[in-house]
Amino acid sequence: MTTTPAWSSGRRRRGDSIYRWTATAGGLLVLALLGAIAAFLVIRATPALTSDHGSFLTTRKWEPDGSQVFGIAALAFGTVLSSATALVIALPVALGTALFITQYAPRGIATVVAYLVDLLAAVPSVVYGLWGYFFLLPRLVPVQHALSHWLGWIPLFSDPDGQTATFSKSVFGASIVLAIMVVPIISAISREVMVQADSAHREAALALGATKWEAIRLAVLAPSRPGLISAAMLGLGRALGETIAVAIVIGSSFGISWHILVPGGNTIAANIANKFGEAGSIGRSALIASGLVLFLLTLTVNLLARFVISRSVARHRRGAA
Amino acid sequence: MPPIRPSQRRRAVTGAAFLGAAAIVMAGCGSDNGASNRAQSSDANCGSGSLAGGGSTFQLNIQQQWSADYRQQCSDAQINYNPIGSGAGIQQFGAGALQFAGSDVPMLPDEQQSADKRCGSKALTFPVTAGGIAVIYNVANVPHLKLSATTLAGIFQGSIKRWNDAAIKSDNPGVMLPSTPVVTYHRADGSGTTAVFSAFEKSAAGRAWTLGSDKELSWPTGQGATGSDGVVQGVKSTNGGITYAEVSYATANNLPIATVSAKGNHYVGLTADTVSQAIATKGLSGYPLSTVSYVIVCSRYSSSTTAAAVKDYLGYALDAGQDAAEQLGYAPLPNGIVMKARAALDSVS
Repeated sequence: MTTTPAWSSGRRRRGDSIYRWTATAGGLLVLALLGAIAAFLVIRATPALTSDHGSFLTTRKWEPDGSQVFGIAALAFGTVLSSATALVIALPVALGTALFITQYAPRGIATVVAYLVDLLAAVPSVVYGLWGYFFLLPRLVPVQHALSHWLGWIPLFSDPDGQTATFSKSVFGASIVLAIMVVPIISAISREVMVQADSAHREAALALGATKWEAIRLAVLAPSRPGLISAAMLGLGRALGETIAVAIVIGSSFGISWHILVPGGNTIAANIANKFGEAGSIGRSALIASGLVLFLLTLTVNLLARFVISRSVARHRRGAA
Repeated sequence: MPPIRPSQRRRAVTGAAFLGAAAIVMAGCGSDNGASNRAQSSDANCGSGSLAGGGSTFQLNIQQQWSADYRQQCSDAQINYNPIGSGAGIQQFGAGALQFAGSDVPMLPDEQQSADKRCGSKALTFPVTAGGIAVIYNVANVPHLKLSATTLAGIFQGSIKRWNDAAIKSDNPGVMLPSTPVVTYHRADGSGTTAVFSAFEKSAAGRAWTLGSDKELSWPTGQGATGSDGVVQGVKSTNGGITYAEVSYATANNLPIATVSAKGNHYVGLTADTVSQAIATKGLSGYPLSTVSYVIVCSRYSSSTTAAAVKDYLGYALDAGQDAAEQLGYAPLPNGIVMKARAALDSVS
């Protein structure tokens, strides 16, 4: 930004410098905002962090206004577990949709399907929450029961107390709602990425006798990989921070359990939504502290995504060269 | 949680239907001192303009009823009650956005400080209504159920997993209990109801209760929901569900209430009468469980019209308003407490 581009060797125009400063100011404003948010979180979280009688990172309780023992262990665990499960469910669907739209579907159908998937993103999250609670959860009972019956030997699906036979607000239900919410994002970005893959490569692969699937794998999926990873990471970021839909659907308990079918589970964002109204001063500060953890968590996910992408791009370039 | 609204509104409407009747009954049974006071105050000191109150969601139904009734006699007055939660109510009151706040718990020292600062005078807290807290359950073909405090501790802490558990059986000799899994619902938000329920468990179940007593607990199992309506909706949709909530939610949803014993074989039922009695004699930790809900006001308002409106409206609530309690599922405050609350309100200027 600081070096003068070669093409501007002549007299600098007024418009140019105005444009340049506006653009710089815009960029700096974003940085300043991010800094301000981080500073706000740290300052408002400090009173709680200093008066915590438990260990903020490992305690599984949340009693900031009473015994002042609280920690984000159970919340952070639940956040990561529900978002990861959501990603596992959403990724095949989203990629499948994107592949169908860009590679398989006739043009007319592709436009309609693409439009409908995008429309999913326009549904307010509270509507997803209500739908999940009143429609999905009751109908999920036989599914979760069957899963625990047949796959119960996997800890993730086990149901030690036979609780899956009834209506349950669990990590599983929350993950499905989350998955539906992140599908449009992942699918939209994947679509953009796949469209950009060079069609000449695909045709060349087909000409060399590759099947359609082989051609897609070699000439569409392989070069799109960094873009697809970034799509998945953006979806993950959305799932980590999703608040109200999860607050309505998840069980809001404070244990750490891998059993996603059993009632229970909690996330940082849902806990903030649930507790903010009745929180006292330390309680609010503690919730902001948990928000800080969420902020760092999503930041880490995004940085990790960048890292993976940059490595993958570098490798791809090397491979191509 | 948003799904609360419809059914609350429905109740408020049925409440409004009985409103006319209440006014008539009121004239006949002026058992407490305030009846005559009110007659003159309603004409002379009618507050005008609008009054912004808010806080406790527990108070929502009765505040709506009060403000509707109150407008019948003071048509210029507009009382708005915004159910944002007790904590938020206290905070907004301290910030000057509300002229009075409703709260299920008294203020903490630092909250009192900021409220005093906002008022420029001492902020006063006094009770306006009460409610019984019931153990509400949904088990097919079990219309009556007795539960001891220790059994309840086992249920809500996850050690009792099925309805035919030996502990539940021994509380209910001769009752056929199914092997349905126990599914507990607790409040996901901080709540005075949780505080009262856990205080009772802590004192009655002793060592069997390990979660302590607070507005929010770190529940090891079960499912959380927001608001009393949220937990009761959960129980309603779950065969084998159980929760604790204000009595009104049980009647509104046609769910049975367990009779509970604090110690031994003494099981107590729950009516507005037994609740009021319990508050008058035993305080809040005896059974039937009850919660008292407060309002917070300034002892000195900068505007005299605001002061007059606050005094007149809450005066009405403490007096004729108490008669609206029972039909809405609240319990009227005992006379002794009403008198103290009135004395506090009278000092407002």
